[in-house]
Amino acid sequence: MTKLESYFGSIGKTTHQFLIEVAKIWQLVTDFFYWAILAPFKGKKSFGREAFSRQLFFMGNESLFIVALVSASVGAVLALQAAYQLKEFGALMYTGALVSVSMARELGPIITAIVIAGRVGASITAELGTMKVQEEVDALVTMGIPPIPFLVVPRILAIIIMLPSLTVLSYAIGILGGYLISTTSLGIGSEVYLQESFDALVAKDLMTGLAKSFVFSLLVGFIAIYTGLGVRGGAEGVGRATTQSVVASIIAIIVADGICTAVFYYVFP
Amino acid sequence: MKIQVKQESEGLELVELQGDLDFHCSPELREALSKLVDRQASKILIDLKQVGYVDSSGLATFVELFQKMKRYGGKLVLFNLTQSVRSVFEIAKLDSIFKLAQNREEALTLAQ
Amino acid sequence: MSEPVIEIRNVQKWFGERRVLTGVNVDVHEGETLVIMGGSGCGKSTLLRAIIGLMHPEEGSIKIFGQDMASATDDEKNEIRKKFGMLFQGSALFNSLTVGENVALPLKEHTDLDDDIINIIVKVKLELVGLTGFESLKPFEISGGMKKRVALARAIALDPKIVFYDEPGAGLDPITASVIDHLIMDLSKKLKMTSVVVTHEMTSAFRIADRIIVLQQGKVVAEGGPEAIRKSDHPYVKQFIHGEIDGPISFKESRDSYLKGIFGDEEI
Repeated sequence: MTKLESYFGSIGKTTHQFLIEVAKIWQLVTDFFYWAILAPFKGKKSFGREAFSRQLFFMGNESLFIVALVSASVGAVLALQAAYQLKEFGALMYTGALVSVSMARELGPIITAIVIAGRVGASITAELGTMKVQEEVDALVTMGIPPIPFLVVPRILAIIIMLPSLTVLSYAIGILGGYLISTTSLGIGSEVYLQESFDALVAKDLMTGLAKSFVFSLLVGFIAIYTGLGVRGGAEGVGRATTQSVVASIIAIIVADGICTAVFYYVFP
Repeated sequence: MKIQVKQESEGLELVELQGDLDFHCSPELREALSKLVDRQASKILIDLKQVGYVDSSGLATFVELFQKMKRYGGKLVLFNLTQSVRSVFEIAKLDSIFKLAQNREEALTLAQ
Repeated sequence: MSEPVIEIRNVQKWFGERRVLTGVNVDVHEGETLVIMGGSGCGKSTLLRAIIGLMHPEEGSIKIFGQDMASATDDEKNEIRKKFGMLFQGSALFNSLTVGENVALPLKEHTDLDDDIINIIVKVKLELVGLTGFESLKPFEISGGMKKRVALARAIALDPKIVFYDEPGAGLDPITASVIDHLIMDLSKKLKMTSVVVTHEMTSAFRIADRIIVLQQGKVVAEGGPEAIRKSDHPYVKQFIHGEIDGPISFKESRDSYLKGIFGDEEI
C-alpha cells in the first residue's frame, strides 16, 4: 500500500514540478513578447540596441566558420551517397537535385541549429548563469533595470535573425560542397549539376527550411536563457546548466524538426 | 527649475537659477548654457541663491561649462551658494578649481 | 525624531517549512547608519533581500519612503529602486563592461543625460571612492577591494538617499576591509546618506554603526547604540560578541535528532 502510495506520490510530485517548470518558461516567453513588442508602444525603453548589435555580431562571428565547414562537408557527403545509389539507376544527373532539396528542406536548418545550440546557446547559458550566481542579475533588479529587456530581448532577437541567416548560408555552401565533389570526382558536368539543382528547388522548399530555422531559433534561444537564468549553486551549477542547455536544445531541435516536417507534409502538401 | 539669462553688458551674462538642480532639469540648464557658450560669452556669472539642492548631474553640467569656457578663455563664476550646494563642490574636491563667490560684488571682481 | 525612511513591521518569511524571519520590526531613520548583525543563518541577508524587494515576505509590511514594496507595481518598485543603492557581497559588477561603463549604467538607463555629462559624473564618483583613472579597466583586471569600491561608486551613481551594504568586508583582508568601512562612514556623512549594513563582523559593526540590531533565528533580540550592545546582558549577544562556543548557539544538533538521523524512526 505504502509503496503504491509513494509511487503515485512521486508521479504527482514530478508532474507538479514539470508544470511549475512549464509555467516559468511560459512566463519568460510572455515577458519577452511584452518587452519586445508591447513595451515600446507604452513609452518605455524597450531594449538595448547596442547590446542587440553586439549579440548579433558575436553570434555571427562565433558560428560563421563552423556552419560553413559543416555544411560544405555535409553537401559533399550527400552528393557522394546520392551518386552511389543513383548510379545504379543511371540517374546520376539527379545528384544535384537531391543535394539542393535536402539541404534546403532538412539538413541546412538542422545543421545550423545544432551548431548554434552548441556555440551560441551554450555561451548564452554560461554567461547568464555566471551573472546569476555572481548576483549580477540581482544587481540589475535593484538598480531598477528589468533583466528581460536588458538581457533577454537582445539575445532572442539576435538569434531569431542570425539563425535563419546562417541557414541560408548553409544552403549555399552545402550546394557548393555537393557541386565541387560532383564535378571533380563524380564526372557530372558543371552545367547539368547547377541546372538540376535549381530546377528541383522550388520556393516552397526554401520557405519550409526557413520556417523550421525560425522555430529552432526560438527553441535554442529560450532554452539557453531559461537554463542560464535558472542556475543555482555556483560555478558547478553553471557547468551543469550549460550541458543541460545544449542537450535539451538538440533534443528539442530534432523533435521539432519531426513535427514541422509532418506539418508541412500533411497540412501544406 | 527656472532659468533666467540676462545680458548685463557686452560679454557679461548673468544666469539666475531657481529650484532644485537634479537629473530632471540639468539637461535643460545645459541647453541654456550651451547657447551662451556658442556665442562665446566671455564672462558668465551664475546666481545659485535660490537653489537648495544640486546633484551630481548639476555639478557635471557646471564642470562641462567650465571646461568649454576655458577653451576660449572665458570666465565662469558661481555665487550665492547655500552651504549644502557648496558642500557638493567640496565633496567632489572641485571647490578650489571653480570660482565660488559670496555675493554679486565679489563675483564681478572675480570675473575681471 | 524624524519620520523613518524604512519601516519594517512584523515581517515573516518561510522557506518551505522553515521560518527564517519570525516577526521582525525595525525602523531606519534618515541619515543614520544602521548595522544588522547576527550569525550565519540568522536571517539577516533574507531581511535585506526582503527590504530591497528581491523577495517577498509572506506576512508583514516593508515601507520605503512610505511606500509599500509588496503592493507596489513593477514600475513603482523601479521608481523606489532609483532612490537607493546596493553594494553586493561579491560586488556584482558586470564583467563584460569596463569600470566606467559599470558606474555609468544606472545613469544611462534612468536619465536623459548626455554622454559627456555622464562621463564627468563617472569621474567624480570614481574620485569619491579613490579610483580616479580606472575607467577603462575591466572588473577582472582589478583586485577584490577595488571591485568593492567600483561597486560602491555604482551604488551612489544616482545620488541615492539610502545605500544598503551586504557584508561589505566579506572576502577582504582586514586592512582593505577597514578601508571600505572608512569609505562607508565618510560617504554616508558627506553625502548625508542613510546606510543599512548587514554584517557578522564585529569590529566593522562597532566601527561604523550609529545603531545596531542583533538578529537571532529571525528575531530582533537586541537593539541599541554600539556601547549598549557591547554591554548587553542578552546571552546570545554576549556569546556572539565574545565568540564563545558555549551559549545559546549550540554547535551540536540535539542528540535526539542525531540518533534519528542515523537510525530512522525505529525505537532504540
